[in-house]
Amino acid sequence: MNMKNILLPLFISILFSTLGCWDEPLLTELGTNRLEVRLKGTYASNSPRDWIAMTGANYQQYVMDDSIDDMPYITDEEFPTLLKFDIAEIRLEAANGKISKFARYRKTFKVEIDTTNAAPDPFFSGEGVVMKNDDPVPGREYVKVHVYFRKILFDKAKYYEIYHTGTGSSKVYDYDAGWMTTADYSGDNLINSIFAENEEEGFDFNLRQLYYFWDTFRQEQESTNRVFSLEIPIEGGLIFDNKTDKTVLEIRLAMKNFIKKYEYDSMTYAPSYADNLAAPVIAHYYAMSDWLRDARAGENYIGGNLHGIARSYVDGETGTISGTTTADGYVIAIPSSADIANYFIDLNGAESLRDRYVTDACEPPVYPSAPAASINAYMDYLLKYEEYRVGWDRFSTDCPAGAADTAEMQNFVEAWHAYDGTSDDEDNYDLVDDGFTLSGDGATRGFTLPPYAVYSESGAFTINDIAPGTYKVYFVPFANTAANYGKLFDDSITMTSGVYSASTDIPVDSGDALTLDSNLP
Amino acid sequence: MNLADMSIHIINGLETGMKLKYFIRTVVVLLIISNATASFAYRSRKDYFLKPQVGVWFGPIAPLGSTKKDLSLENSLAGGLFFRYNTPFRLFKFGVESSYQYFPSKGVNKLHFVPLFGNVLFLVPFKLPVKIQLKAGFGGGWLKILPDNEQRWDPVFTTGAEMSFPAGRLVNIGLRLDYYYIYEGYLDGSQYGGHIFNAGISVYFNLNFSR
Repeated sequence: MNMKNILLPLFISILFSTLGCWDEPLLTELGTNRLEVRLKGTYASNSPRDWIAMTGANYQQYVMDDSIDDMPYITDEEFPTLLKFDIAEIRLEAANGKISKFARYRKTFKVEIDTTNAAPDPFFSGEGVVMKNDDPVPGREYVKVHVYFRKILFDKAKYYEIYHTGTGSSKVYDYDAGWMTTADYSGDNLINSIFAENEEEGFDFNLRQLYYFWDTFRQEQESTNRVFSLEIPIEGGLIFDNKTDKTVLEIRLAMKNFIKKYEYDSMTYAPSYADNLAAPVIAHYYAMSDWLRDARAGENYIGGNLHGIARSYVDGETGTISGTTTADGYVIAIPSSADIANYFIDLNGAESLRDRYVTDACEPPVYPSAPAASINAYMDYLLKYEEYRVGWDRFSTDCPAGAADTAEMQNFVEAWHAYDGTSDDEDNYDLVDDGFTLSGDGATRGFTLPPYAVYSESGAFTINDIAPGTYKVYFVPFANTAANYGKLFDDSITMTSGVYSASTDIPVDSGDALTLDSNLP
Repeated sequence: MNLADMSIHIINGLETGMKLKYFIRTVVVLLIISNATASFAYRSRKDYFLKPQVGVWFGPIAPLGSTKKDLSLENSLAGGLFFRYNTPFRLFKFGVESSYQYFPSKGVNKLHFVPLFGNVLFLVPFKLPVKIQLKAGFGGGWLKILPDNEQRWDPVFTTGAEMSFPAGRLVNIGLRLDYYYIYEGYLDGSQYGGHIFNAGISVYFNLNFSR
C-alpha cells in the first residue's frame, strides 16, 4: 500500500494543529472570567454611610411611610434584620439595542442589616457581592444592564387583622376598642414567603414594585414592568476587552438607609390561629423608600423606587481622588460632560415630585379597602365608598377641565406625564405643544445616581477606582439638603455653596492619586 | 468436470456397476463443495466491507465534564464525513474524518468545532452479525469561540467504536460513538481541555475502485 495515502492527511492535520490563529487557550477563555460583576446596596461607590437606626424618632419621622392609614399606630414594631433577594439573571444592553445574556446564573442572597455597623455585610459595606457571569462580547459598547429580580424581601413584615371586638385573636386591631395592649400579644404575626424554594420569613415586595400609581391608569400597564427587569444605566458605558485581565462592572442600588415601611391593604393570608371571622388582612412590610415615586394611602403599588447605577473600570487602570471635607455629606464625582442637576430632583419647594406636578384635583380617588367583619366597620366602609364615588364626580369635573383643553382627561394625562417625565407618543396629547417643557432624559425626570460617591464625615475622603476620564467633583453637605434617611438629594441644596470645583474639570488618568484642594486646576 | 457431468457419472456408475472408487471420490468432492459454499459467501460479503469506504454520520454531540459545566456548553446535533482505506493488514483500516460541531449555550458562550484528523480502525475479529470496529486517531481541530469571536487550530485526540451491518453490497449502516479530547495544555495559562462525546448514525458506501 502506498504510504503517501496515510502520510499526506496526517501531515495536513498536524500542520493545522500547530497553526495558532490566537495565542491564548480558547477553551480557558470560554471557561474563565475576565469580567467581574459586583453588586452593591449603597448609594456610595466606596466608604458608604453607616446604617442609621430605624428606631425611635427616626421610625416615626422617616421609616413609616405616610401611606400607612389603616394601621397608623402599632405597638409591636420590629425592624428588618435581613434583606433577601433572588436574581434570575443579568443581561447587558448594547448601544445598538442588542441584548447579551451574559450572566444566566440565578443566585439568591441573604444580606444582614446590621444597624450597629459592627460588621457590615459586603453588600452594604461598599465592597459588594460578586455575581457569576460569562464574559460578554468584547469591543461592543454596553449602555444598560438589566437585573432580573425574582424576589426581594425584608423580614419583620407583619400581618394584621382588622375586626370588631377583641374576642378572638389578640393580634388584631380592634375596630371599636383600638389596639389590644402589648400584653395581649402572643405568638407572632410575621409574614412568611417562599424564598429560594423554602418558606422563609419576609414579605416579597417585588410584585408591589411592578408599577407605580400612574402606570395602573395606562393601557401600557400590560407591558409595563418596573422591576423585572430593572434597567440600570451604565455611566460611561462598558466596553469589555478580553485582552485585559479583569474588568469590573459595578452595579449599585440605593438600598442602605433607604428602607421604609408600607401598608398593603388587600393581603390574603391564612392566619395560623383559630379564627372564625372573615376579617380583612393587611400587611406592614419594609421596602425601598418612595422618595421619587410617592406611594399614598390605598395605593398598593410602590414601583419606580429602586434606583440603580452601574459603571465599569479595568482593574489596576484606575485613579483616586482624595480630599477633606469640613461637614458631613457626600462627595460625588460625575463625568465633566454631565449636568449636576440630573443627580438631584427639582422639587421647587414641593414636598414631593408628585405634589409638584399633580394637583389634588388630578389625584384620582382610591377605592377603600375591604370592610372589616363588623357592622361598625361595614358602615364605615360604605361611607368611604360614598366618598370614593363623590371623589370620582369631583375628579371628572375638576381635573380634566383645563383652560382651553376640550379633550377628555387631557389635564389628567398631562399632569401625570409631567410627573413621569416622559412624553407619550402613543396617546394623542402633544405635551410640548401644550406648553409643557420636559427636562431630563426619561422615566425618572433625568434623575440618576452619581457614578462615584463617598460619604465623608467631616474629614478625609478618597474616591477609589475611578476610570480614566474627566470629572467634576461636588461636595453635598447634609446640613443644607433634604437628604436624610430614606431620601436622596433634591434641589434644596444651594449648588454654589460647599461645592468643590464645581466648574473645574479634573482629569483622572490610570494610576493617578489626586488630592483635591479648592485651587485644583 | 462439472456437477452435471458428475451426476451422470454417479448415475452411470450405479447403473452400470462402476467401480466404488469413483463413487467415493465423487461424494468427497460434493461434500467439499457443499461445505465450502458458506465460507465462499462469507468471504465475498467481507470483501465488500474491505473496499475503500466513504460515509456520512449524523447524531447528537455532547460536551462532557468541565466542558459542559465550566464552559456552560449544551448538547446539540452535528454531522460529519469520513473516508476509509484499507491497509495491507486485513483487520486494520486507515481513515480520515471531519465534521462540523456547534455547541450553543443558554447564555452567550458558543463553540464551533471542526475536527480534521486521521485514525486507524481495527475490525474486531469475532464472528458476529454486525461488524465492530475500534478506532483511535489524532489530528487538528478548528475552534471558534463566542462571544470572544476568536479562533485557532488545536491538536485533537480521538477514540471511539463503531458497529455496522451491510445493507447490500454497496451500503453499510452503522452506529458510532466517539470521544474527542481537544488539547490546549501546551499554551500558557491553559486551564481546560475539551471533552466531547459524539454519537451518530452513519451510512457509508463501499467503493469499488479496483474493478
